[in-house]
Amino acid sequence: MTLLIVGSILAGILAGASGLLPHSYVGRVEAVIEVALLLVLVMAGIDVGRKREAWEALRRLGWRALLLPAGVAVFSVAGAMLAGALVRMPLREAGAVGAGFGWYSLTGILLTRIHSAELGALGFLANVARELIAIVSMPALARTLGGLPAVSTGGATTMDVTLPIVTRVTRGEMTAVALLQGTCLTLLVPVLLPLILHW
Amino acid sequence: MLLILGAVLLGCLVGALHLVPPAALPWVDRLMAAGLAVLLFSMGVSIGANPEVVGNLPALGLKSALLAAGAVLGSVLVAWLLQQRRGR
Repeated sequence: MTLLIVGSILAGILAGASGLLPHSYVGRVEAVIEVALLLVLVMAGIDVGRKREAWEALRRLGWRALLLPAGVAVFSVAGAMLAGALVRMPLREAGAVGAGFGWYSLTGILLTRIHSAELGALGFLANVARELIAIVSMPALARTLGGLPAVSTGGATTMDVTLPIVTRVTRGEMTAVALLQGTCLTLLVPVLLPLILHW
Repeated sequence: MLLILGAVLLGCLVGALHLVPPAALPWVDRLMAAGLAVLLFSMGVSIGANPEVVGNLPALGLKSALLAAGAVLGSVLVAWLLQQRRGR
């Protein structure tokens, strides 16, 4: 699984940077991503719909299931602030970048609009990096630390891009938990990010 | 956003109502793996072919990787703690 994931992304980045791919594909890559995403989401949905374990994990957790998105929200921001402090970045700016939770397109746009193009670019890249780190580390984390830590890395992306990966590496057990986390954090980004920047 | 939720819900419905014949079930897995490979490859292409991302990498790459690592480590820590509590 890790090999498929890392191999596909690396091959894509190299192929994209090389400029050797036909323009008919590169020009439509966003559409290809959209269609492939919808396909894997339907498949992940079929898996979670069939498996009772997926919902049992959520039922067992009960209201505490909300502790995961809440905790991931707070600790993503805190972790980014801590990392930002290492390079003498203003805490508010580092925290706002962390509050993107991997949703790079919105983070880039929001930060560019309410702050500056520089912070927008940084927020975009940092959240692309978060998504990549999540995609690449999920299989190993699920094996070693367990399902919740694996899901947590994905932040807001566990409702779309990383959902099928969660499904595969946790054999469907964490799909519902991941959906909940991704949905909560996705809704939280446009609210929390400006708040942290202007607190 | 709506399309994404719609796709997941459609899948859930199909799965919950057992509309997929058992013989076709291995194909759900295969299609997901194939779709993932196409998805991740194309995401790589859109990163690699984006001059803004590639151009900003030397200046902002290290800083952005550091911030992302901080956010991920924080998330893993809290999720691991929650998992320990649940285990008891």
